[in-house]
Amino acid sequence: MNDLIYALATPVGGAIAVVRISGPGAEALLKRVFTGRGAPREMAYGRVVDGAGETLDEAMAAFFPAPRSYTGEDMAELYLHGGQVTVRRVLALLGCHARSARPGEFTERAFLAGKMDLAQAEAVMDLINAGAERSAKSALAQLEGRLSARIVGVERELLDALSGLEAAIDYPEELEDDVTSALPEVLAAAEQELHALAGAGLSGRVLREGARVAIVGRPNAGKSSLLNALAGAERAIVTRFAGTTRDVLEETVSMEGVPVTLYDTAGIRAADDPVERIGVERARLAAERADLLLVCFDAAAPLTEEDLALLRETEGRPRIAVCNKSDLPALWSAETLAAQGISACTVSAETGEGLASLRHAIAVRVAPEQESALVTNARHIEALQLAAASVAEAQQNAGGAELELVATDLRETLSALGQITGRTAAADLIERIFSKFCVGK
Amino acid sequence: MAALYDAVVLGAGHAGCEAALALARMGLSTLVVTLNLDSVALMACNPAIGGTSKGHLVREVDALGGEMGLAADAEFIQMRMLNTGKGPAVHSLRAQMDKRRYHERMKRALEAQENLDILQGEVSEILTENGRVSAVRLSGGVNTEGELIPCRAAVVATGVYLKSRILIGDHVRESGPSGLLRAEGLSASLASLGFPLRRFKTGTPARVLGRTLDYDEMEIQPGDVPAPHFSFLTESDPRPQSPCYLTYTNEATHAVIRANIHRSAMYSGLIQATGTRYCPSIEDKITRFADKDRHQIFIEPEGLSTDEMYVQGMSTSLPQDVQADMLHTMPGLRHCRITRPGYAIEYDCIDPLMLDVTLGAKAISGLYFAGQINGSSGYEEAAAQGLYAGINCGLYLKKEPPLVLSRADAYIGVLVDDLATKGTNEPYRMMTSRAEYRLLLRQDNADLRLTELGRRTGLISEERYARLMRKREGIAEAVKALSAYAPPDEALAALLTEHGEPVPKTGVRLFDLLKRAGVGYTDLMGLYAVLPAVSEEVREQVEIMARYDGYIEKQRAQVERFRSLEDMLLPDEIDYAALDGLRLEARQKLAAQRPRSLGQASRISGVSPADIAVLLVHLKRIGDGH
Repeated sequence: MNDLIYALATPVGGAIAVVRISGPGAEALLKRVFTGRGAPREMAYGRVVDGAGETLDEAMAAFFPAPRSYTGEDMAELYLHGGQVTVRRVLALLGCHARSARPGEFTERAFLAGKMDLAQAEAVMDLINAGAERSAKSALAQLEGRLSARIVGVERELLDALSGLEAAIDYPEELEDDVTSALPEVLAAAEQELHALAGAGLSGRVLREGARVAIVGRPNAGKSSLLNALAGAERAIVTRFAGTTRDVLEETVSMEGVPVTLYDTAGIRAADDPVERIGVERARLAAERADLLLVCFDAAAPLTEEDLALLRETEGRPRIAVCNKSDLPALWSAETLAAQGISACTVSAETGEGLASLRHAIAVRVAPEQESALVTNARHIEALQLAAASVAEAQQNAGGAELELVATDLRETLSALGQITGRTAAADLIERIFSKFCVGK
Repeated sequence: MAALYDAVVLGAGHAGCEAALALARMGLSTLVVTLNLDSVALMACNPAIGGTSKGHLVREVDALGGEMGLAADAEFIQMRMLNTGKGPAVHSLRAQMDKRRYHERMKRALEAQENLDILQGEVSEILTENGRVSAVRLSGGVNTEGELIPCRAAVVATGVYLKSRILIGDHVRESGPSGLLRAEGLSASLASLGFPLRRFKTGTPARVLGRTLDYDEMEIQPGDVPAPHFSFLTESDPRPQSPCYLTYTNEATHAVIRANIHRSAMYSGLIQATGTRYCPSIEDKITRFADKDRHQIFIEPEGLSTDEMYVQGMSTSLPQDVQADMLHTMPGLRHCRITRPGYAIEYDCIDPLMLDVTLGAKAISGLYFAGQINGSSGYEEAAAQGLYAGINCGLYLKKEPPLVLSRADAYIGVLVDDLATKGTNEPYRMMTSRAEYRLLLRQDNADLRLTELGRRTGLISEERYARLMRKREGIAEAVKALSAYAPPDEALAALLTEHGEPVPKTGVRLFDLLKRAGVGYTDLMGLYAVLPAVSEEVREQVEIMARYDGYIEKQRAQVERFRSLEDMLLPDEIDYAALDGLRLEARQKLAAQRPRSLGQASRISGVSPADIAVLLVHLKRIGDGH
């Protein structure tokens, strides 16, 4: 089943900008962001409005139900008046609810749905090919020089680490070099750097697509009420809806002008019930993809082992600790966390106390920086986050004996980075093993 | 005129033996020709079979009904499971062999095989008619008169014997390994059939006399007790094992080598051929890693009926006097006497890009290649290719679809794909690092992965198949029982606490308990009567399934994506030159290599994802019947 995708279909800078949305849920999304209503395949006039009810543009739009559409799926098209800022804001809005399409993905869907004849498909593929060629070459060039040097730097470090592991696996008797003791340090540094790089990319993406803020915490820490409170304080909120997953609720709000999507995740804890585990797995994913974590605690109850575990797990991630339920007698205070160097806010979701400063803190953390170099490509940011997540797994495995699992994680990291740098780790790996280590009989 | 053979196998080394046995066992009349019947399955270099990734290959050969694993289990003098400190995917078995007995065991297997004729002689020419193999010509001289032997197919497994030269210092001799004859005529025949020849080089260290060694100056390395085994058919064997010994080079050794490096055949320019990084000579090691102050040297027995010892790690082409001088600098070897000097050997081989993924020549039907002729190195790599080429040659003769193993099926698949798709510029060695799906391609599950796939070849005995079925059933039964939930209770709490694992408050699936460090199936059996008693191999499988669970799932998903491209076969009649949208380089590479599938095409160097998209569209058009 295809997911919901969107993309700008016309070159940047034209008088009219066409934005396409395709996949299940295209109609609902159109209704959500566009006030006009028309019959299928007919142009309607209306306004594009964001989650806070603000008008972004006056525009035309049309809905094409499946199968009679370009892609053969439910499709919507928005015809905007252009203006780069407007277009960017509209794309940012859509990005809260759909995935930005890969190059050629609309055509691919059209072709696979049998909507194009061969001549058409080949012609379009040629165009895509030309584009893909260019983008492969320019992927690195798109990045500001210092940034690309940093990404290549991490890649090199990890390739070195991996080649050591592989040498140890393939030459257990001959390799005398110590390839494991430096590992925890190398991996921790790489993870930090990847987070920093993904964070640098955040500003660019936040501008276009909104920041992802996930609320995590053990069950009953007050996550849902916190979400409602943060969203509810805004008068003009978007409708609340259950997300595509069973256990993640989301709301999109504007915080001091910064678009923010809040995710309320199911309690993160070791679940043994298989059904519950699916929910927890999804929550974990939402948390992993988040730009900022709100780690929610119940200040009216003692800190539990689960709370402490959560603090450990989220260490190194951008996070704000939220001590909820300040309306109840507190058993401990934000200072307890602050003493450990964890920035914390005290709020009461019930009374609204402290919410304004929490919203400010969120806005400050996810707001676009003006000066810093940006990774602006959403796919690059995703790749960096994926890389960071697999390095984190590598760190967990690095403590054990199973070096092949660490190697598997690092291969995943390198393949994620390869989407940016265009390098395939496998090709360089063997070369690296034999240039670094004296092995072989 | 001699009788028509279905197939002639050229060479009876590790590749040739497997190919010949496979063909004959498939019911095809087969002749194997070797330069010297006393060197059948000769272990010309180290006296060991297996090792990291190579042990995987041996298990896979066994799972497909090959001979190497059984022969190694019969004649080992030491068994050692390597990498046991790491996870199960990279455990690898290595056996020290009695070389002579291994040869005898394999020769007997050839002799005893129905449908198989054995002949000492030299094939000097392969003849074709209408693009098919029609006969081979024996050259006169090597115990046979020249004659024409008609055949429908041939497997070329000539090892390092094509126009080989032995080099020791400035001494050069036109010879095969160990003073054996080399093959003179076949190179020219291959060239005229359209195979450009390349020159590769490899080498071997000196052998020394055991009674001249000071064993107490070296570290002893015993075998594993009980001894593990390669074949899925072998039962454990408690025979006494022979130890190996470990010593080290030192500054004095390195000084001797540096002072004489100009006399090494490899450094004096005598050798033009391409050597391998995978088996560096000792002079390479100290030149490339000048800052390393010592290198490990293993002393390995060559067999029970000889006192010769192999000096592993000292492969060299230095002159014999220098070899003695450098050995004498090392603990344990100070008084050693050399029985055979080390040497470098260079030989002709083909470019494996001329082959398709069955190891058959693309341009000539019925012509297969296996082993070092394809640019690989190693006994196990050779045996694996020999079996694979033999099977596919047999299936070709029977007009049945080939047995193609992919990178997701087996190390054999990785090996063949690397050679036939990517090619190699130096003698190729298998490594676990080359296997993308390493966690799935384990040596412990080679039978589960391959035996069923290989069943249609006829090489899988009833016994082997029955064992596989029993193992499968045992695993299924255990996994089913493991899906039960364990209520929290004191016995479980005690077990988990003992292993330093947290105690769950709610019910836990037994399978998930197996994921905890230190908790084994047997531990759980003690607590839960629902778990059936299982064999060792079943226990091993379910424990691995639990420990690797998340990773296995991840790799399975990757394999699925991989297969989606692998399953899209490219028809033979595609005219790449006329296909619009392909870049020029891709067009040339695709036309030259003619990949079997879209997946294989994607691994050819110079073919980009964009080119694959064009091919995808083209396939879709053919599929739609346009």
